[in-house]
Amino acid sequence: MSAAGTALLVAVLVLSALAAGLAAARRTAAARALVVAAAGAGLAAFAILEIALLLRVHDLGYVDRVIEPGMPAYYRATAAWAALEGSLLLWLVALAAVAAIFALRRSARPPERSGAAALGVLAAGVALFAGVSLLASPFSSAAGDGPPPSPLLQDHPAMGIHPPLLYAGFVTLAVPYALAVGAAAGRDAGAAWARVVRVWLLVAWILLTAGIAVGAWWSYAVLGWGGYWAWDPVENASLMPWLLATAGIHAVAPGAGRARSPRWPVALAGLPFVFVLLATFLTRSGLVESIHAFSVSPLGPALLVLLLLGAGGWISVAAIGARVLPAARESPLLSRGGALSANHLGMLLATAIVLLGSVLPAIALATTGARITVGPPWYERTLAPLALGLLVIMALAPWAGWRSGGLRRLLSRVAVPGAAAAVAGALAGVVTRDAALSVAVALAGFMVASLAIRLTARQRGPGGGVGGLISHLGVALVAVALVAGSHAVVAERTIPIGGSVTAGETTAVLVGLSTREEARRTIVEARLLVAARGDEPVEARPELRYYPEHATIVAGPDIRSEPLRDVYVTLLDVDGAAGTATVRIAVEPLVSWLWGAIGVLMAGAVFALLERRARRRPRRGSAPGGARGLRARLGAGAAAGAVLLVALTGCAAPVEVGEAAPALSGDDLSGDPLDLADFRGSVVIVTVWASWCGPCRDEVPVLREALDRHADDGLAVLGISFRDNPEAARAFAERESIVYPSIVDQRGERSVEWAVAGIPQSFLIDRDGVLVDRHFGAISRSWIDEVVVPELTS
Amino acid sequence: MIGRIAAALVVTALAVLALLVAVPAGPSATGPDERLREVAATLRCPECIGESIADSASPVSEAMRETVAAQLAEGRTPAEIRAWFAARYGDEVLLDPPPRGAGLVLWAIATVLVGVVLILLARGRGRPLRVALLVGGAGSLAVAVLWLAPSAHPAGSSSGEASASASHDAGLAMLHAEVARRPGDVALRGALAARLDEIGEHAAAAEHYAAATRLDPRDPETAYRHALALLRSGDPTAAAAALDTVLVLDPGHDTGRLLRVALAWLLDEPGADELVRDLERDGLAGRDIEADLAQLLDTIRERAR
Repeated sequence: MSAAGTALLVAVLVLSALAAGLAAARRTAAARALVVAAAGAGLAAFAILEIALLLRVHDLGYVDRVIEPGMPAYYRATAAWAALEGSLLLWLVALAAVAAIFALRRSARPPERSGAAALGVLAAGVALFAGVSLLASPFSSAAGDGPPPSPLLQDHPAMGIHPPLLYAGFVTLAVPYALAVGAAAGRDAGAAWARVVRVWLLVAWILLTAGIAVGAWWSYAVLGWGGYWAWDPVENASLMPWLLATAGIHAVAPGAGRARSPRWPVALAGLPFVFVLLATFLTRSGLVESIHAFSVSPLGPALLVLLLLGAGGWISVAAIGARVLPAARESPLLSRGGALSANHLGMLLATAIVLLGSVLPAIALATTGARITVGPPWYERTLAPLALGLLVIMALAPWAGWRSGGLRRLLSRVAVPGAAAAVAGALAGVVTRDAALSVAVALAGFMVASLAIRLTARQRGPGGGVGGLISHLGVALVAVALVAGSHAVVAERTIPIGGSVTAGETTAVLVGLSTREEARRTIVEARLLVAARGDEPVEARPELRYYPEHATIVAGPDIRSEPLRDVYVTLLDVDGAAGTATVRIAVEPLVSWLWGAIGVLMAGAVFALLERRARRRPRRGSAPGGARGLRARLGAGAAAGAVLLVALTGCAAPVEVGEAAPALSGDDLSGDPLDLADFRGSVVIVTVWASWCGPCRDEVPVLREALDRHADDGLAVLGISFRDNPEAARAFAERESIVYPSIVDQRGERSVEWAVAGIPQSFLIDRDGVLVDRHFGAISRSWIDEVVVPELTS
Repeated sequence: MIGRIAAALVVTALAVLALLVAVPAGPSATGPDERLREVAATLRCPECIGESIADSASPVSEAMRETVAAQLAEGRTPAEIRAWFAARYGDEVLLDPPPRGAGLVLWAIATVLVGVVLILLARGRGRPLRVALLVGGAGSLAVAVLWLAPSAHPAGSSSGEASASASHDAGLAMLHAEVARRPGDVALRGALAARLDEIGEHAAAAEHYAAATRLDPRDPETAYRHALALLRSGDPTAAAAALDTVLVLDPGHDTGRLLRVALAWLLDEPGADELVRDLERDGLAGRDIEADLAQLLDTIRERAR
């Protein structure tokens, strides 16, 4: 089985490489046949993997690694892409399939010359990815050695839908990229080319939108933190191609050619796939830290080569495009042409900001060692004003003429939707007293009115297709849901049975706790009554699912969706002995609207795809273009940034090695006072432990042995008992024979003062009270020998 | 005509919106929970990947949240709290990077990007627009500078106690209503009784425990809690009877046996000494029975007054 799979992958590589060669030699018919054959071989390889997983064929090491006894068939099938090797295979198969569809469908292909070039690029892409897939193949014996996939990936059905949808979107973007190369090669980016690109971009965009939305929904339903978007680098990696594809769709909109030079569409058709390659590199190379980077691999260099090839190809296409394609005079800003420029530049700016936030921390760490974190507050502050600007342009643009500007003319045309916006926004403002929300509602009102006028076919209605207007309405509704969603109310409390926790107007009462065993996991379930003030209570049953083999706990939040809000109840912790549970309750407005709004957004794109409208040939003018200027300025900006980066490395000083250790005093486990200052003159190991922490057990004998040997040299050990029930801590100390005293830190504030980042963690303090070293994880003998002993003898 | 009216409406709407934007809509974060969350959402959980301490359930995040809450209660501002954490954990604890070091580079590049886009947008579109765009750009730069300046939100100091007790009353009311609606649900009865017991209504708690014991007569734990509630409500005789039920259901119930003996002494029952001897023979996990019993008796006498 493993040999057959490997042979099929080699077949994909050879067939597609041959196809690329034939396409380059303009033997298109033969190239097409080979591309289809390569896709067939890829699909067969994937089928072999699926059969092996479903029938539990133990020939393949990969199968043993990703499936567990008792795993249901559904999760065995989705386990195909639960680890790196399989997910690369899925990527390859999806890309080969898209290339085959491109080869087979005449209507989805541009005229001969640029079509042949595009087919060649796609075939070459398939060959390159087949090479990568062979480097990390699920059919190799090495594939059995990696870590098993996280149980997070087998806890929710969305995991079967999210990766394939996302990958389908990603690989479909390869076609617009190939078509951009074709346009540069064939020196033609006319209306026929734009029509083909638009179809492929729309399909990719719909798949990508669905993939991102299902991923957000998975994050919301499984991770238990109550949010759906964390600005995590891997989420960002999928957002960037989406933003660029959105810009691309607008660049090839019917009629856009009248207002613009074809250089923009060519550049924007190719760019999303470059960012797909960047996303693949970022998520698979381990360069960025992310909860979604489920598999980190040694493939970094290979993927970097692919990225550089793709980016190099795009730069040549853009450069050739700027030379061979005609330029056009810029339209006034208050025209649809001007709005398109604003759309492109705005989307590029948003992409650049997301890219900056995603990679700058990694770059800063690698170059200067400075550690910074770029989190949600930064993205919200930088992107919110930009989003507002883009939303206003989105609402107004369809009402403007393609090339004619004028503020007065535009305002007189949008009087009716403007009035609708005014009424909607004022109403929302009066009801919610929230400026941002009323602005979003006003925009949605504007979009509803625009769509209504367009559908009733009044004369001076908005331009553009109905599908586009539906999508714009979806965007406005998404904005409403996002702004409203930022007003979530959250409360968290540890409560006994009968106790309650209240967030805003909603109260949850803990009624009972129960435990049940399943094949691969133990589930603790809490039963709660949940009600807003005065309403009839409903029951919520959040769970904690413990996977013993992975030593992992997965939250199973209970989500009560109502039309205007979601009540999100999470069980964070259960103390069986005390009969208490830590419960988090979040009331999040309009979450269900978000999913609906994304549906509207996608429905609009589907409508646009099916819409048949008369298209006129683009009219071309001539004026100097600006691509070179853009490059020069971006280059200057990047250089300035690099200089700044090297020059500025000062940061706030943390609890730092080489400085006096913070004070530490309190009661020990039997209630007697204890102070670190009394140990002055000794070399002190301060170690933070807790009875609920497994690795903390391992370091006890190491410390005991160190004290036996070096106590006479002046070694002392002082524990901090972190967030523990004193009774449990005492029992643990007795059971494990802890010989050193420990300061009780029941709420954890002393440890926070010491900047403790996780348990166990230890600090070494020299005879003068200076912090000498900080050690993460359980103390090992080598740390004692290599760090502590030299300190004792110095 | 209609167009004019509509235009007037648009102008009105813009005025209303401007007013709404200008006038802050009430205090942004009112309760202590909200203020805690607002600060916690800007601090990174050091042992997780990409989570704030507001959303993370890790023990270190819990400890950090408690520190934030304590500092808010002391009247520190969010900016001061963030600075306190940055001084200990380093700048990487801040999810919104401060304008120094690599964080400054981040802001500088972002600002340059905005400038580049504005210049590109202004190119070749006639002078008035160009001027307008550049003015707009200067405005955004001013906003960026404002962003970089440390924000100083005054922290309010309302107490969290009121909301906590109010929430408990709401929870109790919900439990009462649900028990009335579904009187046969043992878990609901037990939860209501536990809550009543906790707030000192031991007699009412005992009634609901009694109901729960009738509904599920085989659960020694509920019967034991019933006995405790009876004892706390000042009825040792009934408590002794309830304990007898516990010991029938679970003859090895250690604390039940201990309590039963204490009650036998208290009520001067014949055969109390014999019960003590049994206990001592069984060893009860090596406890000092006499001392335990003396302590227990003191407690019971005090409770029963």
